Amino acid sequence: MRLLRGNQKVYAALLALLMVVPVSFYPSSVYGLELQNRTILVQTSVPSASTNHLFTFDMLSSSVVGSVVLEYCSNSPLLTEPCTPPAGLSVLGASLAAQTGETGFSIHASTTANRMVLTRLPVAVSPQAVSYSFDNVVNPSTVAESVYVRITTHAADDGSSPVIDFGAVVFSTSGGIGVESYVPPFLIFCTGVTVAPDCSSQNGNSIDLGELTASEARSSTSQFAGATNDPLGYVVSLLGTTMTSGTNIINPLSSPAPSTPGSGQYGINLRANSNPNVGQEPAGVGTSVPSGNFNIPNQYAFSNGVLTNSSLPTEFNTFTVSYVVNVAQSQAPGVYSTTATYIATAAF
Amino acid sequence: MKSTSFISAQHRTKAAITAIVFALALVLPVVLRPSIASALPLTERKITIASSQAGRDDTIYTANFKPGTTGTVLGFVIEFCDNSPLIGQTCNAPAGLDTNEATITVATGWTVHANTDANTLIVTRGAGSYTAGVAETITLGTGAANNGIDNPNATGSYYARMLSYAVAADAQGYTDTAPGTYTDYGGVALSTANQLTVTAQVQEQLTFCVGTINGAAPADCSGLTGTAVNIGVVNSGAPSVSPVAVVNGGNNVNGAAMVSTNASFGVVVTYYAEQATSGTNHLGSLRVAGATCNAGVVQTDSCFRSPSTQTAFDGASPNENFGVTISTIDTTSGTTTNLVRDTNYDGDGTAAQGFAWREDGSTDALASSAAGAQPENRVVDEEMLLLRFAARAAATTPTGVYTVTSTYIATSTF
Repeated sequence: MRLLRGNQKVYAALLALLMVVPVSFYPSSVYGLELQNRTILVQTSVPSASTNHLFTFDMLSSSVVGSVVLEYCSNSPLLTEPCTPPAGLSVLGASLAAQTGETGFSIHASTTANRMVLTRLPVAVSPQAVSYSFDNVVNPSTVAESVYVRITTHAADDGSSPVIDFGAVVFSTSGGIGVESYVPPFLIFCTGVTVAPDCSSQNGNSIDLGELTASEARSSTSQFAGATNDPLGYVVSLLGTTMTSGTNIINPLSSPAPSTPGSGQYGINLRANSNPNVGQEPAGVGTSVPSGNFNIPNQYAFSNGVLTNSSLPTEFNTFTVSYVVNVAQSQAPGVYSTTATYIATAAF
Repeated sequence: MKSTSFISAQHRTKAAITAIVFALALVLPVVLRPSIASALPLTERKITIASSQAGRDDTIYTANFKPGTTGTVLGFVIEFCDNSPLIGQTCNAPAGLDTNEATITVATGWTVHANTDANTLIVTRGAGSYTAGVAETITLGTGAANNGIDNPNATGSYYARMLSYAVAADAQGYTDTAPGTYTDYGGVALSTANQLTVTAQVQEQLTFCVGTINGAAPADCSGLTGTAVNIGVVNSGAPSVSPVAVVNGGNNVNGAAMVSTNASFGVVVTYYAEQATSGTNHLGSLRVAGATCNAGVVQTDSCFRSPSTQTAFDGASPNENFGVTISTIDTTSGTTTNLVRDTNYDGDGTAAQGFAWREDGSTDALASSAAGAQPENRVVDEEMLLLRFAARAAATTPTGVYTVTSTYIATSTF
């Protein structure tokens, strides 16, 4: 064979290069099929987090496959492009937690920080869906970065042979969102002739008992409601006097007693009564309860002090205060009145 | 001619060249001119080919020209040659060119004559005339199967000779070297050429970002920053819904997640609540750091109740709630409207429409484009989920600063 001269050798080399370069740079004409339905599910997208990466895709070829390579790149998913490893990403400490479809893989010793090589004895694959799950993958450290993973299959068990099938997936690191709020101390309390169970409304602040007589008890009601998030709960206290008209008074009931028409009596309670027929039982899901003197149906009393109490944070309770007034025949005429002040107290 | 013998060798050469040039000057006009002394050139002549691809079958050829002569024209010849357009010269048929003479049709009024062969198209008609200077068109073929010209196999130039005849029989008797008596004539050049193939590859794309915002979506992820949403003071009446004004203790922003992808099977945006590393129970709820909370729905501990399905925040007890909803998907910065909100997060930001929160640390889908009927219904271009967080305290919810952190994930399937 005739030897080539110097220039001819150069030309021959260039010609050979021209023949080779298109093959190397043009994936679609060289590689097999594109892996389908491919995706990566990252358990957390937090940068630098150690997490699970789950790859799923469909293998379409029936070629002999001895390795699957997963190469993480920050610049491009294209096999024709050089791969820039994502900063901070590492699969060196990862473990193959699960595999489905084509199985029998383990992590090859040639695995690098951004290139996971799964290896097994080369056998022909069946076209099917596969998945590979890795624990302890360290996410890239850059926030909001798109990271590509090039997926290739190879006949050799170390990822060194030509690509059979190929594809790419992409995921993104992202920052989380922190939500902050402040719950202030609550002591919600309202009074009125009637009130809404959650104190969203209240109506009236005056009660007219009409004409007092010795033959029949006069009665009426008002309401109060309250709630608190005080860990020690709250109390509602009464501050007021019995009914008076100038220097004349109606005797207050200092201890619980039934209503007795013809006797001077002024008392209240917080229960539903039948004598007289007045009042309602406490309502609501809260934990407040009436104090002892005011917690007996058909028994009335009057004294300043604690009306209701809850030793816990409590939802709303609504209490109906029943006012009962009796007078003796000798009760001095006049307009009798009183003002009751209800005070809710929480300690926090 | 004695003097002739004295011409030097140099002079003899010059004389010979001069003689040849002179002779050519006499001969060329004869060669280039038609054999018919009265024939005139077809002017402004051209043949437009529908495709220059070498070997392309059934190509429509359209001949345009202006006759030089006014008069009856009952025959027309178009002959394709790869060597010369000159009338009367031997014509080499271009390899691969085929007039599909048996099936080709030509412009209305003309009939393809049986003498037509693979490279010579002869058409005749019963009546008709040309007017000098008036444009004429003859279209060869329709582009249907076997109804057009099969282009030459090789790339490069080839020629067409065009001749008009007053007598159809003259056209029918046409041969390349004996074209007969024609009226007008002309040659055109044509060329087949290589096709240019452009190859490109679109890479897999997923752009996803999370941030805070109060207003319209930014143009892209570069405009979405921030990581904290403060919903301020939470009372037991109406819920605090982001954005909460500064005067009410908030920071006047919503959360937002913006995504773009060309994934043909779509994208799913999920989130999960980061689990607190201290305290007990409800670790992914809106809670006081390190708080000891009780399992179940308890409104007296320092962990907000988190309904995992969409729940109105204006109901009765249990009225302690924390959640999020996507009040809108802002598509103003992109070109698609393909993301669809999950039904647990498709509220409008009002208490009545409700909110939800998955507190157990598992992922929950917020929105997806995967259900689109076609790939174009699944790709996403700069669509932004507006995340509105809301909390409503019970009257018993302990006072304190409550926080929770959530992480968002976009998963594309290609």
